[in-house]
Amino acid sequence: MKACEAHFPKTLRYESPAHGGWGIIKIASQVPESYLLFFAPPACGRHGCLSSFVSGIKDKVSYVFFTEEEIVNGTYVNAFIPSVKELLDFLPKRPKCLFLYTSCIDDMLGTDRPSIRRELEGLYPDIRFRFFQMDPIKLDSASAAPGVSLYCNMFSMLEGETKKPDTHQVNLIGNVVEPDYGSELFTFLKEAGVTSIRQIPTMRKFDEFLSMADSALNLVVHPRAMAGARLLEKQNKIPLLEAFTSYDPDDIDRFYQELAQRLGSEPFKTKPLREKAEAKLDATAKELDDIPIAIDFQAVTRPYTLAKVLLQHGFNVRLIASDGVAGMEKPALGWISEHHPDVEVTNPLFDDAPKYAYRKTDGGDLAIGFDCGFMVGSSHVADMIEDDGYFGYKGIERLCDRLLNARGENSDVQRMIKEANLVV
Amino acid sequence: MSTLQISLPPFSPDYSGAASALFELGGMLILHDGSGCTGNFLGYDEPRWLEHHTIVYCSGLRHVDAILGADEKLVERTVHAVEAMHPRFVAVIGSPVPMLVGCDYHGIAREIEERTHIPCFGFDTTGLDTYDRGVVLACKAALTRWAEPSERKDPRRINLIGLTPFDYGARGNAPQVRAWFEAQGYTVGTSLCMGTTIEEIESAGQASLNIALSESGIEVCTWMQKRYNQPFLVGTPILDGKVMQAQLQGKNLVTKPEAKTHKRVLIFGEQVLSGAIRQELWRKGVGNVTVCTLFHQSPAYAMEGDLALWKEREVRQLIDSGIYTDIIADPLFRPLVRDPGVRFFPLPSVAVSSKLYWDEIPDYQGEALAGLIEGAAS
Repeated sequence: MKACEAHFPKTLRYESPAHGGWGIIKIASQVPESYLLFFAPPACGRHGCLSSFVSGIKDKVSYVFFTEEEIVNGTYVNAFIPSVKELLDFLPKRPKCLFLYTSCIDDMLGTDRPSIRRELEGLYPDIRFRFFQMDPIKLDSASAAPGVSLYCNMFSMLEGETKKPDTHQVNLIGNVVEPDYGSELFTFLKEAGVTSIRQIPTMRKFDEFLSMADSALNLVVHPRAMAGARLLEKQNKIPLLEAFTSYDPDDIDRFYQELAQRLGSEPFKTKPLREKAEAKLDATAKELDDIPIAIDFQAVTRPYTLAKVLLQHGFNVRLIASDGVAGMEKPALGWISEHHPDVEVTNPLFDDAPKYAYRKTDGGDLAIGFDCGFMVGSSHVADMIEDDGYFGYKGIERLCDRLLNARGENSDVQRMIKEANLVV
Repeated sequence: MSTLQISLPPFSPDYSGAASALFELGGMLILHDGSGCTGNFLGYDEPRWLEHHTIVYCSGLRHVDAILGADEKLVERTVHAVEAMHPRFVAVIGSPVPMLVGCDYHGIAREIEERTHIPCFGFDTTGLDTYDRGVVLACKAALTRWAEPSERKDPRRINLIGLTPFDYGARGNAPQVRAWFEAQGYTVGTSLCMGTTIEEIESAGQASLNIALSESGIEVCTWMQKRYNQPFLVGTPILDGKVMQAQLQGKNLVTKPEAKTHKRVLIFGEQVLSGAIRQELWRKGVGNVTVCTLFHQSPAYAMEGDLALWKEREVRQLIDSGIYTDIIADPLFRPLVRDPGVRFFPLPSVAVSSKLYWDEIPDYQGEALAGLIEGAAS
């Protein structure tokens, strides 16, 4: 459909081999000295378990499988306490926190999770227990979607942990991979007196995680962590600032102005960085020579905003593959509809998507993200997932480099998909 | 009773088996789930996914729909998709949440069929059983729908049943098995569930013999014996194929040799392939070989002393028992072997280790499997 007609009705969801994300196991397992124990039917554990082998975190994940009989007669609840004991007896080292995961069926069964947690806390006072849900049947819930509730549950462990508030410490929350430290963000933070940045992907000790409670500001780098950040705001009085990656220089300027204000710093000197990034965009557009570009919603947090910026700088954006349009992206879609109404918007999960899938368009498309790379049969793919940690003006430059590199190479999309270890 | 699995993964579930069995037939497969079950099947249980452009959908089941029993949404969306994609058939495949609310898959399938005028199957799979049960359900449904019993039997025509990527991988064993039987002078009617078509399935009733190539094949062949009046053999051609050749001639090439050494081999895996490996070990003089079936076991085709275990606790106890000197199993079993004196021989199974090792599944008639058996026998 044309951008000016974009709408997203609910249909059966087509799952292409290139669809998927990081998965909640990978995210939760980054809490240092944690262990994940799933209670579910066997099928519910298979993809998470196998992906944990690929991710090298299988030594932090185990499973308790229920039988049909136990589910039907309700005796599955008797499995929680003895299974935890059996696991703890087996593990060579006691975890500092044990995340008890349940799956979709538990939303229907009404397990009394609080009483199980209380009993476990009584038995093992040295371990923090939290119930997590891996329940995609709640994906349509803004507050209870698995990726959202995950952060709330993780950060609930920081309750009462604010010991020595540190005005020179900030948290990055919502990122699954380490950010690109070449970004000017880190220079600016340093200039503003920030001496310590806490982020879960780099932590090794549980005490480091607890020390997030002492931070002066939460920079929320992904929307899924917003509810968790709001919890920290209420629970630990840590203010939050949205820091979702954007490739729009106006967004970036606005963010840095706000950041300087929040940190009580002089305004950051962004003008030369902005000029350099915009010059890079112009030069890249010229070098790419009108090659048709497709943008995938799994590759970047704000696909419509990226499309708008690229179009403004002369790139030939032809396709945006996205399963919807977030509120923060509506102005960008509006701009595209007005100025480039012929840009295609495709929902790769829509039921007629297989009609277009595997179609070799003109063989020369440059895809940002391999979902649409797979869909349009592109030979040139910048295989990014969730912005790959790019941020700010340096992020724009890095993105341009990725596009130029992708243009210069023939991509093996199937290999990219296999290596990405996506979890649907 | 529930079981703690610390190291081993859950095995491929029944819904993956049902979806896989129909995967190559040009239909539209709908996993009735929130998202994760579809992800299991496509991401981890279907090695043909990238190459075969089969239409697989997730129904996108949501909490409130499950509570309210909003099956009409599923029917409406399926009809919409059928109108867009024109598949040859539709299969609605169950998962744990619909099981809890008692989803009537057969009723849903009837309604979709009435509205779309194409065949529609409903499978009440639950995610609580293993893949082989789903394969059985889907094979029986496909045969019931498309293959009529036939009075006319072709004496050189056979059906291969239970040929699945879970048991044979997707690296060439399936066409090789089919080619092997053709090289013996047989015409292969259908080879469920790999390398076949609906047209071939339609002719299944004309075969005079069925070959059960895996445990799921045994159950389907038992059922076909009644429906189509077809006898069947259980086995699969591995290495030089001489054991299977003898079976086809009504002979028994090997018998269990007398155990002359302390060697005891334990094979974890699918029943029919494991049984074929045992016979090859017998040919090499190894008398003590136990097959431990990880999935369903057909007792009539098990030998005395064979086992059917899948719980990790029991598997660990068996491995630690000190009885066995050599173990053949999926590579993910290796960490469970703690005694350095026990030799381990990795034989990947898609139903266990999925894409972690499915590129390493050996050619069953080739040197890699021969080497593995030689090593275990030495």
